[in-house]
Amino acid sequence: MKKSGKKLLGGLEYVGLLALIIAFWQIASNAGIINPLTLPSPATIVDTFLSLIKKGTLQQNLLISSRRVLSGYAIAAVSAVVLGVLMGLSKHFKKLTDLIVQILKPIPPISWIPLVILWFGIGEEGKIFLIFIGGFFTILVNVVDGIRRIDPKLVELSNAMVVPKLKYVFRVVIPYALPNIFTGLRVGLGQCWMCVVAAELVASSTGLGYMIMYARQFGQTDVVIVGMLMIGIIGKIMDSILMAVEKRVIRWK
Amino acid sequence: MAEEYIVVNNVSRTFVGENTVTAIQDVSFTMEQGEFLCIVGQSGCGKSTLLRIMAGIDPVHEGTVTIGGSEVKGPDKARGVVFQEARLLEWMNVSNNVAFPLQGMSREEKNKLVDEYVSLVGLSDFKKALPRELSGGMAQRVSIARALVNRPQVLFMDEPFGALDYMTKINMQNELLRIREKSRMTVIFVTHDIDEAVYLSDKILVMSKNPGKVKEIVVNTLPFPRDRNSEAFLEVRRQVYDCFFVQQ
Repeated sequence: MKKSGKKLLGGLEYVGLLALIIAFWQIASNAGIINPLTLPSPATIVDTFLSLIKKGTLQQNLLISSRRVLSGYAIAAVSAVVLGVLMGLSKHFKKLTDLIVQILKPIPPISWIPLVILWFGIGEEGKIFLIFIGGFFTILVNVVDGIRRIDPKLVELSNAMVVPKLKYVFRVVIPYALPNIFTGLRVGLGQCWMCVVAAELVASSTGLGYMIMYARQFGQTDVVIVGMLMIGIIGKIMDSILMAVEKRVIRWK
Repeated sequence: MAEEYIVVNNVSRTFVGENTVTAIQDVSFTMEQGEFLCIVGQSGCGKSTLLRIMAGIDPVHEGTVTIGGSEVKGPDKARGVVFQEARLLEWMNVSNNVAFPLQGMSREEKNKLVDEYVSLVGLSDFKKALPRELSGGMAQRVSIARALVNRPQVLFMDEPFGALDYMTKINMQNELLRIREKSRMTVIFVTHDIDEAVYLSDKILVMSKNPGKVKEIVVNTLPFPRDRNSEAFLEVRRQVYDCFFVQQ
């Protein structure tokens, strides 16, 4: 088989099941098996999607949510990587901070919402804080884990070569931990998306989460589903971008 | 009588744990500058432990090691180490791996040294290659270049060719002799391969096991280049062999 043919088949395999589900869904909707109030048909959803884009609401909310995610995520990523490297390198620092991290880590970000509203009100800061919480611990745990997993043989090598500490950290330890760091960054990004929706569901007048909540109150199930799908699609795109970055950075694997 | 350059004096090493093991006990010997010493023994006889203590990368031991008049207290740039595994940093290309131990010099100086040592081990065409693109023998050449780039006075090698196939191993041995001929450094080379020891060394330190002790030091004055199949070679080989299998 030709290369292009193989590629086509691969692509078909990738979207095939999704297409089949949508097809059945449409057929069942047309036949009246599915109640359009609880689950509108794919065609209706596409219509709604297009009209929301025409009105500009979808892009606007998407932009607002994305901005929040990226702000909170950036803070989480930078602080978790820095702290994680320190915790991974220093036994004392790890011991000092470990208990706090272990207790804070299992608290679901959503349960921070009441405190967040109390502390920050319903402004941007609170949402960004919540997103930060959502990403921070996941990234931190992965970074610490990656740093700790350093091959003792490379530690011994650096020792035998009398390599200075800073060089050892930046040229040996961090590159070695990069695959783990990237895993943390990717999972963390996903969690940040979950948190932005949670934050906007509860206390907001903008964003995709708000759009979903607002539509529910008016029984616009189609808008709810468009909002949900947008979150899924953007999450997938951001993950793919991060994966591409990872591939470029970790060229040696 | 030549001067004593390296003095190992009553060195012992005990690993404390659930089972406390005395790896080596009261090891004493001396070496001259420029000498090539092979340490041979069965696995677990403490030959690697002895090498690590002499190289200064195992700080917990009794007794003293003196090199050139000063006591070994830790790792030093004047001592290069080659391990059994190449231990390359897989995110750096060949040049950067070789440059890794270089400190505090200009980029030009660094590049010059790196080029010199990469070509010394015959890898000039692979400077930009990543470790994953290298064969086992090539990777070990890089690790040798890395150990030499600081121009050490003493080179420590811990079964450096143990993981290579026979042909590669023989090539690497010849290469090592060529490099050593140029620099006349002192070499301490751990192996369990008697042939290898006889082919390379000026002196062969045979170790016994449980605990590791010096059993015998065989002086090897065969002229270079050595013929592995010559009578004289086999005679030295037999001498070492007998240390293991006849005296017991």
